[in-house]
Amino acid sequence: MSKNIYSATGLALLAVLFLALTILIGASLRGVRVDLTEQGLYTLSPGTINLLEDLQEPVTLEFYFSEEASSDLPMVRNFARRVQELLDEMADQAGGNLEVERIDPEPFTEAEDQAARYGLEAVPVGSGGEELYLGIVGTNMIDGLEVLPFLSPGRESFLEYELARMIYLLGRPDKPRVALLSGLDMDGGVDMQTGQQREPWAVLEQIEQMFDVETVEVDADSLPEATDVLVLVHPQGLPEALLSDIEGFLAGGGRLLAFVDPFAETAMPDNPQDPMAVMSMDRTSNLETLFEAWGLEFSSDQFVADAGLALQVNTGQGGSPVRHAAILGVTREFMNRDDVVTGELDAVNLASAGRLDLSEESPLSLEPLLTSSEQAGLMDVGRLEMLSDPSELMSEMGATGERYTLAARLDGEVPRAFGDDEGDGYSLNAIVVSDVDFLADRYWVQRQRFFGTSVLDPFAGNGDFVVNAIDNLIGNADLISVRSRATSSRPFTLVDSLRREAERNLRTTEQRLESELAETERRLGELQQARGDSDLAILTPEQEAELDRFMEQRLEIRRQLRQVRRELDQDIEALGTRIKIINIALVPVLVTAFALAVAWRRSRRQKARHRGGDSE
Amino acid sequence: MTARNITTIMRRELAGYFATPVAYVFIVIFLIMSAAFTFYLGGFYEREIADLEPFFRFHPWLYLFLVPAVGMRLWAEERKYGTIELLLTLPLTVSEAVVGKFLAAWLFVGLALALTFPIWITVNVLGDPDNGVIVAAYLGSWLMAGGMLAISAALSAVTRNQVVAFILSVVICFGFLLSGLPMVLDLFRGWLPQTLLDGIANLSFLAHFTSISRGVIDLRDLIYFALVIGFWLLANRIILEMKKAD
Repeated sequence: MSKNIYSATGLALLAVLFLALTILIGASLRGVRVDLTEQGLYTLSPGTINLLEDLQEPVTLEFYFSEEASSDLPMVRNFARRVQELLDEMADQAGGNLEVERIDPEPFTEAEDQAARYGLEAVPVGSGGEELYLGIVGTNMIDGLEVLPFLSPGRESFLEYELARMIYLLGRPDKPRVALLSGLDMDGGVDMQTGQQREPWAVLEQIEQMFDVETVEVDADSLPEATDVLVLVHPQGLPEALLSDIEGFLAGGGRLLAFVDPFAETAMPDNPQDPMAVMSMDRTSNLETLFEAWGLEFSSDQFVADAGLALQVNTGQGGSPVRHAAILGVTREFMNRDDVVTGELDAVNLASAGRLDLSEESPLSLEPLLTSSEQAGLMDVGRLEMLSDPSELMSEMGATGERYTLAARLDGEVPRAFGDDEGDGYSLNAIVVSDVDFLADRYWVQRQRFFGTSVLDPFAGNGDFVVNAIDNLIGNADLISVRSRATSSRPFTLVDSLRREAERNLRTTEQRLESELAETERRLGELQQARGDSDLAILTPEQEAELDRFMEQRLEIRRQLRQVRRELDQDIEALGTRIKIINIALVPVLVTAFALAVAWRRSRRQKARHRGGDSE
Repeated sequence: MTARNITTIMRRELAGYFATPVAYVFIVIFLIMSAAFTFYLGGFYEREIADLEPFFRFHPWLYLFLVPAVGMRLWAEERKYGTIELLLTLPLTVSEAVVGKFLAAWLFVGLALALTFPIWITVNVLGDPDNGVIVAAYLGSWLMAGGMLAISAALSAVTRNQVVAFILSVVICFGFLLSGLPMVLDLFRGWLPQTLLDGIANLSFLAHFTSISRGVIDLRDLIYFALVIGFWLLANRIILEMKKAD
């Protein structure tokens, strides 16, 4: 009997058994896993669990997935399996309030029509052009509807957040109400040249998805009723009645998220075609009345220039990108890690941000959320108006060694700025950001077309910051903890610091050489003046010699400058080469040396044995 | 099967590897190629992201040729020189010999993999990588090597010619690597039900390796690799017994 196992039949049986077992484990075992990622990217976060446990209304999620069309795409099938598992896990946590259904929208069925009606996307796949659905439709008892039209496998790390957000939105009967008062055209406005409506800012789209946003005109008298959070962007010359109403709203427990800016690049005059209007317009936000009452100091005529956080920008003159001391990429180290708003963000970008500080008599407490690095200083905003070469800022700025606050959370009892009774104060709860360009698309997000729809592709966390801040001011911390871990960039910090070091060196050398050049040019000018206006064409021999020397020196200085620029990236390249050599050659050389040593010892031992044998 | 016998044969085999230059040559080639691929094809330094994705991306393809090179001699050599009879007369079972030899080769590949540690140090010096993900990816890589090794060992028992064993192993490992891709699935489409097609897609080394190297150790992936190794070692044993009967 046992002999029979050791045969071709035995092998065939084994193969069948193997195949059966692999199919079985693929289909039956679920959710037993150890998540080794630092942030637990593939484990339900405590925030999601809280959210699910707090779910009051019954919510139904329908998971549309085309079995037939995906049969050729194992990666997509694996991803769909992952989605299904996550949904099941969430349903387990929600204790009966979350129902999950799986629907296969086969071609020419009612389910397919249903999917199309909900706006799910059908992606053509394979040579036959079959349509693949991979989306989720969420509904609640009161006709609430949320749709994820297509789940892209590339966005797996966002999956939990997107599902949690959907459940959160369906789980509460009404969305939180946000009043948006903006001095900028955040809804895109009308393009003067084409007469067409431009796309609204991505940040507006994001907050509109989450909240019930009502726009307030800058010349309105009052805020809408039942506002939860007021988002105030680039206030300029607000009517007193409105300011007073805002104070009343804050005094009544309303929360504020304010964006002010000493120099709002994104602001546009009514007629952007008119260069005079563009140049002469006032780009400074003004919320002085309230800030003064609170004891909040905002540098309305100075911006924070920071060599440590300066981002590279293209000058558009075909030259190499240069660092712009007013455009800052604030990284993790300069964010408040203990605050839920910034705790899990990786980077946000700001442009010509101001400084926030408290006056000595301020009753508030100020918790910085974003700060500059120590290599920062304050510069006059006038410097930005006619700036043609951003590298000039880098050489002009002087670092003070101080970290300036760029965004902060404020709370405490403050006196009223309006109203008769001085003693009548209220408890303020606000977040203030000293930059409004922070909200503009170009500082944090790109739009991409993905299978016919517009998909936002953020390269910085500005949008998350805004949504986090509003969420937090409303008081929903659970969702924040889910979202913030979704993006994580891990740059080569060593290379970054080398690059900054090299640029600092370049700047010092450049400054020295340029002042030498200026000195030489000045001497030449003096020489020419001394010569007077007579005999212009004829030079004295000394003058000629001086002129030659000058020309030579200028050439030499230019050569040196070019050399310094060339050397800019050399340290980084050298590090790269060293690392390549170490990784490719070091261990192989050691292994070879070890092998040779072993071989040599062995041959010596053999020789010794031979000699021993001979002498016997 | 006793652990002692397995350990004994494993030790004997492992010592055998380092008695000839072949083992060192293998390690050196593996190290140089994996690093060169990482830096030149993967652009590890230029992309400036602190993870080891460009390093692990090439492991399946490196293993495809290097692992059969390790596995091809396991039984083919013994058969060629007739030492297999000697081995099988020792007081140990065929199973013990199969497992012992496999473990020795697997440890050897593991040693080669461990010697890539400078890249791990490098990425930690350059930035702040997610080391949990790296641990998982190393484990996944080693498990995948184990799967390919078990295949190579079994096929090495089929023939006394090492080159034939090598080629057979590369072909089968290639099939296992690619089994999730449409070009393989198309062969079966139409005459196999979807469940079986899913099963075949589920055989893919690539899918399971990718799944683990995200940083998640899923029980299914572990069981999959255990099944692959177990199945091919059993096949190895059956083939040896069949050949013994010849």
